[in-house]
Amino acid sequence: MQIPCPWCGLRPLDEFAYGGDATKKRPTGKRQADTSAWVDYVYIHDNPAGRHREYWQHVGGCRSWIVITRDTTNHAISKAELAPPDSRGGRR
Amino acid sequence: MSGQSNRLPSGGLIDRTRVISFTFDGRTYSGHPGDTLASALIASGIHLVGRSFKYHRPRGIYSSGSEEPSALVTLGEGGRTEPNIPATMVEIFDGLVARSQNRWPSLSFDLMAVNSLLKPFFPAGFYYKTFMWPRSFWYRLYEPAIRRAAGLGTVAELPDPDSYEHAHAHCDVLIVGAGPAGLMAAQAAARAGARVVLADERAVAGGHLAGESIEIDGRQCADWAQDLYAELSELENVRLLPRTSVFGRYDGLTFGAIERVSDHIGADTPNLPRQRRWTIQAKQLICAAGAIERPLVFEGNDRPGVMLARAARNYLNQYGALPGRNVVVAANNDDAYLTARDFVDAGADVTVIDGRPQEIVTGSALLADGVDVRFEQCIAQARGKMHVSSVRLASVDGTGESEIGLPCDLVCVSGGWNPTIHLLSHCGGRPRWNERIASFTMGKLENDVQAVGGAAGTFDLQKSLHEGVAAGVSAAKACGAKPSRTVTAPSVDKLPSYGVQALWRALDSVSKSGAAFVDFQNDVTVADLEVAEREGFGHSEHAKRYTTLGMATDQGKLANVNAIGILSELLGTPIAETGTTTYRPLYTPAALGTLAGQRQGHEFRATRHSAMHAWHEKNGAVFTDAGLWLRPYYYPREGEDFAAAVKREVLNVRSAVGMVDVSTLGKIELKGPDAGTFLDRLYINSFSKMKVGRARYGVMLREDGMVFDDGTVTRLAEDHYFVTVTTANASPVMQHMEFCHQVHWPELDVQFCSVSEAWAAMAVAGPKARDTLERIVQGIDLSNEAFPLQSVANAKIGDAFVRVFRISFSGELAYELYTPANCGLGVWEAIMEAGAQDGISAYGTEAMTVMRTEKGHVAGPELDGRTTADDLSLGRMMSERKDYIGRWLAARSGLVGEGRIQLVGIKPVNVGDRFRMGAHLVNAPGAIGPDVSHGHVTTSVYSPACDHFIGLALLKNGRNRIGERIFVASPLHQEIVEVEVTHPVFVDERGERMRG
Amino acid sequence: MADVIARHSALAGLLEPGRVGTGSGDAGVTISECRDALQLQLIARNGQAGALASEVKRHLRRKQALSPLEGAERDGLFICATGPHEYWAVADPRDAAKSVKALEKIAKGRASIFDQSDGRFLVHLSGPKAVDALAKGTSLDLGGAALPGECGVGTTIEHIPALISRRWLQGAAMYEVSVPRSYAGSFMTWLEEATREYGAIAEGD
Repeated sequence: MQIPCPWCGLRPLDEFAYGGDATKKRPTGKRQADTSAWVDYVYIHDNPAGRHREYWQHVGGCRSWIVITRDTTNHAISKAELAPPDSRGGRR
Repeated sequence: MSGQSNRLPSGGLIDRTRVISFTFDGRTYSGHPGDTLASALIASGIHLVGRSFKYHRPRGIYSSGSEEPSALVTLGEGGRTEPNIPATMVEIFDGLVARSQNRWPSLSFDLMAVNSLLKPFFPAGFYYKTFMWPRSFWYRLYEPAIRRAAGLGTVAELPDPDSYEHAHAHCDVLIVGAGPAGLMAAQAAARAGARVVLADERAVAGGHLAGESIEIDGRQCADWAQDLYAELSELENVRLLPRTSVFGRYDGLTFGAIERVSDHIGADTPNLPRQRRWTIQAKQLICAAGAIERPLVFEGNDRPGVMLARAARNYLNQYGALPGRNVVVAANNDDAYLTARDFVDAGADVTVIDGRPQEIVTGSALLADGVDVRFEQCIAQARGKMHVSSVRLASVDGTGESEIGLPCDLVCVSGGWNPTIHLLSHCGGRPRWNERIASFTMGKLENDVQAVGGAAGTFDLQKSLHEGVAAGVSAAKACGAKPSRTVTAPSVDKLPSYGVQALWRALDSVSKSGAAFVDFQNDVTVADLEVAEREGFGHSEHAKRYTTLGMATDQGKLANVNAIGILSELLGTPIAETGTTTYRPLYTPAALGTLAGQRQGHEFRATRHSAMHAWHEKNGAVFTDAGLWLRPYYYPREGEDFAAAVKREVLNVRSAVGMVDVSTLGKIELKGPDAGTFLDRLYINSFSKMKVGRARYGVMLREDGMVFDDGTVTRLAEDHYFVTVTTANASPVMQHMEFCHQVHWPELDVQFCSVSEAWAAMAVAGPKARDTLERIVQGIDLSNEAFPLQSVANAKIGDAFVRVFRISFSGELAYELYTPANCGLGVWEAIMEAGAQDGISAYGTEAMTVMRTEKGHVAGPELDGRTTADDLSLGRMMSERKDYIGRWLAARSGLVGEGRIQLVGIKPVNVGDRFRMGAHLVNAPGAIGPDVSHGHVTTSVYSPACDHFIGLALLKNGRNRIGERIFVASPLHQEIVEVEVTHPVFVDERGERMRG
Repeated sequence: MADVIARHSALAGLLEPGRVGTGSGDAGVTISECRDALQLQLIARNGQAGALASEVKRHLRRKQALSPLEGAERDGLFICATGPHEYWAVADPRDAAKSVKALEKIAKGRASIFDQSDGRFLVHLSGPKAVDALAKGTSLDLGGAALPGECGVGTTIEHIPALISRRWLQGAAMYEVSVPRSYAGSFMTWLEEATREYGAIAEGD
């Protein structure tokens, strides 16, 4: 199986490390003091049969963290973007 | 040396100018280059090659390919012994040694054949119903006896001396199968400019054409195929992989394949691996894997001398070997008539038994007049003991016998053809029943995947050739190639249509189901399937597991479809509803060595050495694994054992000076205006306000509040930090930092990378450490006033740059020196020389562990992912004035307070006692039950300073139980030791030595 | 006490000039160590990736900025775009001083520089079978057109981390493999086995 790294192109699965659910928003600001917001962020993850957004890191290559949209039923990857999407600090 | 009694005077793709000599079961035979072991044995008149798995029935050669169920042999000797190799896939070479399997004392006289008489006791699933009493006898007597009585080959018990390797290949179009369709696809795709890989499990190209007597474009089809293959080999954009089985298809068009590189060479080939595992990455797959013929099912269909119809003519045409002279061809389709024709042409007597009514038969047109063809008949029984001698015939509808004994020495059977769809199904697609060909094909295939020829259920040769061309062109186009030249398929004379009519078995009324074999290799008969259905296991997935049909090394290639047909008849349901089992890799068995490649033994993982490794080796270090690193564990001197060496090393550090290699620590360098802020957010304590030139201990939590890692953070300049982390967590911490920066806080202006390898590092510790270093370190004042604990500065030793830290893990006066790795060994040697007069010696990780335990420092065993900073008495380090990872979840009520297990020290009440790491803490000896544990021992060492064992432990409410006496229990070892709970620091409680 | 501390390369004793391993026949692969090569990592400052890319382009005197994984050389300094915010720079030790100066100029205000020279060893592989030998360890498609002609790519060789750069010397491809020094033993074991089939020669300095 291959994963499309946005920088390096299609590379084999074993060059990547899985980083978990990418659909949760880390509590910031006022939400930080709310333990239940943290519990939700750290522990409550959906496990859909179908498209899922998740983090992968290209550890065997450019070491970028990527957000992948993968169909968990057949591994088809429909999207791959550098994390975080749309606000990667510093790109030209 | 036996003569080749059944070798035809001419014909075949063998090289008759050279003779090869090989042995089988101790007798020497001869053959020619191009022969397989099977073809050479057949040419020498040998058919009996094995005994069956359960009943030890005599077995012969059934096929001419990798689907062979019966002719399994053991090759090689010693560590090269390899069992269960199909004789049909072995290319002979001078000196080949092959042995039959599963028989004693010999193939022709096998005492275990008595199992055949005991058959009524061994139906499918017998071990669920019998041999159950007394219970203990199963493990002691029945199971070992049954196991020894059944089986195939025996594995080698010596290490395999051959070498294996992995390799990667990339292509636009992968074509599996170099038969007619595959060859045309390869030619079309290659001419269109695509990068092509063409793989075939055989050594000779052409697929079934290598063994046919058909003309293509006016030439013999075998010659046509070889010429086309040779043409392809000249093309730069084509990689040919003969002798290569593509064993599996994985997600994203990644394929695994095994190439038999030098198995067929026979002579020593020290520069070649025996086999090579390929990982092939393709953009398009064309599956041209052909089809496999299925047998007919009748009583005695497993006798030597009964074989598949196409295999029989393959031996004739490709190998010039005559499997029999008095031939019966039994079939339910027209393709088998080619076999009849070829044997007639070879001068044999041929009788055709066709299960179909004469009106639909077209194959008989191939035969000359006068050949005996019987319609609507089937074989009811093949008779003979060690070889077939006659067949009993019956009408297909089971109403009566038509011939009691037709003499023959070869029975060629064809129950139809099964497309080889395995690769197409590996990624989850389910095969569908195809009524037209009475077999299974795939439904709609995924994008980028095509099936052509036999694999697609196309059995017409002309059509297969056209399909190949079309597929090759479309695959190339899908990869962006622009075909400029057209490829046209050659023309083939019209052959009889397939015309198959399903005939799953000779009916019970004329044929004994208990001797009608469906799966030859696992000895599964029609009777077994009847039992399965009767007991409610009639669905194919159940019947497979109940009878073990399809579970042998051939994975039911000749059995599965017949079984489904028979089961559907027994169940009374249409085949489409009876279902089929799933195909999974591997298509054919693979040696473990090939799958491992080079990663065996010492090379199973990479090994990492520090810059001072050569010195450690030379000075007698015993090494231990720390992840991939080799670290010195201890340095035993003459006459010392582990305990003595470690004790000496520790005492030397505490009384003089010692040096330990700490290069394996993870090291991260950070730069940028927000580097300090970044570290503040990662660690529980603060670093953005730390002074330049200072180093401080830091603790990092996970998002869930558990301690993740600890290390040292040093500020080298305003915007420049240097961080060390534990060896084990070097990679995870790096990943964590990268995640935090790239995902959580990309707005922070910080740049960092791992410099673990750039620096060699050593700790020099002991009361004489300063004396030693003052002799050689230039550029800094090492006195306590000028360079107190937690200082850092740049210096030089000779001309080598050295960064000196005043930090202590051992609790002694200590310095850590970091130097560029190229200088590591030189600096280490310089320090050893400078400290000689102080009595310096090296110490290893065990001594280091003893000393850090004596000082109550936590390390890996305490940071096991279940402990919080507060558990480890580090709670005071947690800043209240900043946010950091894990802060909020660490404050959860369940992670604070009396219920928590907390870090304490323990020492034995009886001074000579010792206790184990991992043992549990209990209130009373003999306490048993799920809730009696109050915690566990995390570290246990002998302390030279205390002269008894000491330990660190995590004890419920430990900090409030100092002085209490409890027990350390290890029920597994039946050990129980009384201990006293203490503070975790055993030596120099006020820490005066390291501050001196 | 010696004033000069001996330097030890990671490949000391592992790569002697002459035949490598047991292979015989014409050398399909030529191996040489580029000892003491300068190896630096440049990581862009916040918001400076674009400016950094322009500066690199200007230094290399190119019309276009380097595309992902692409590399180019000027004056003995080879720079490649190994990541979205990152460049890898390699220079011969003879060009070290001026290369460092050039990089400092490129990086000033735009990137942080990290020196990896001591942490990694560098070998050069060339010859008709270099790509085939590398294919036994890395899944990179070095034989196809997927990668830029001159490139620098982070990958793994049988699970040993490596940075493989493709350079061109007198019209022939040369593969520069940079590996963390602690893996030297395992890497050489792999290299000897991978090149055995083709015959390999190590060239001395």
